[in-house]
Amino acid sequence: MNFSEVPLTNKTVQDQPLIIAGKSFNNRFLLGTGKFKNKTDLRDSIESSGTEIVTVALRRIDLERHEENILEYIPADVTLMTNTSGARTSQEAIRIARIAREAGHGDWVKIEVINDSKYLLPDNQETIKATEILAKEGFIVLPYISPDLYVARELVKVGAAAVMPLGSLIGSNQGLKTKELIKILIEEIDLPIIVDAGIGAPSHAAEAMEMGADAVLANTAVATAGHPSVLAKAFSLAVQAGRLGYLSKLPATKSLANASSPLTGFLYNF
Amino acid sequence: MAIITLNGKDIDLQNSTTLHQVVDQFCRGNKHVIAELNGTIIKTNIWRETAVKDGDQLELISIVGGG
Repeated sequence: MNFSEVPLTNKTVQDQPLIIAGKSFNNRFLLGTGKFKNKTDLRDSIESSGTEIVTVALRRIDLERHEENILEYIPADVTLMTNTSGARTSQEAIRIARIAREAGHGDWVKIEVINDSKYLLPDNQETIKATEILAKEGFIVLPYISPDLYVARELVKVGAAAVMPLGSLIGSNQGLKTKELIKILIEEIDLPIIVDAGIGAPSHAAEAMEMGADAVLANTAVATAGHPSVLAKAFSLAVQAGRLGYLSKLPATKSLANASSPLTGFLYNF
Repeated sequence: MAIITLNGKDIDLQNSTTLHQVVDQFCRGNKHVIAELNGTIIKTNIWRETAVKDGDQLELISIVGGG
């Protein structure tokens, strides 16, 4: 079952599909495929979440031992997006993207340029360079960045298909530490904003969607959970719940109490 | 004896002379190998007629799980 297809009860509020580079998606949860202990967990997580986009990476084949290929566990109708992980410069990212396309794995690419081994923060400037060149070559480019308004504006200019700001450090499960900066991107950038990295629990995903993010990507949390496919489903539901919350036009928070029940006609005299 | 650099290591080709034979020698059974010979991606359908020679740089790459 695809939970994104659950109809809204109020017919006047109709959700739109997520559209990236002209392609429509009904599910706003994206799944990374790294770190799964076994590949059947990955397959089950794709199925239980109903995700329509997954990320993969390119690596040298280990000549010493035979490994099962991950593609055998990803249904053909799921959009494959190659990340450029391992790239330290724009040139290395460009090479990875070209290899993936030449090899027939499509032209969807998540630009990830990292040159810091402690925090694994993306290099925004190198990411802009790679995005510009690959977009010109016809790739559908989704750059992964530290949330920054000027960088995001530059990415719009050079042809990015979406922007993927990090919620917190990769694999940290810390949630939306960069919330206020992502909020600015949501308000100012006219491209899908997909919150990526650090999303460690369904509540983090719901929080991102409630404030108007277009989609959320998670990987480490799902892959390392005790029951990956259960968490994948929970993420998908949380993304949907957060989306509905956003569409409902959430009321503002207040500093003082405001009674929910009428303040007249009490049964007792005070 | 032909020595090539395969995924960063010097490897003796033994009896292999084509890319198809090299892939078969080192990645038997893997249906999703990507081959980059001296910086150029070689499509699967021409592996049998692509010669691999002493001193070549060959990268055998595969899609793996990744975020």
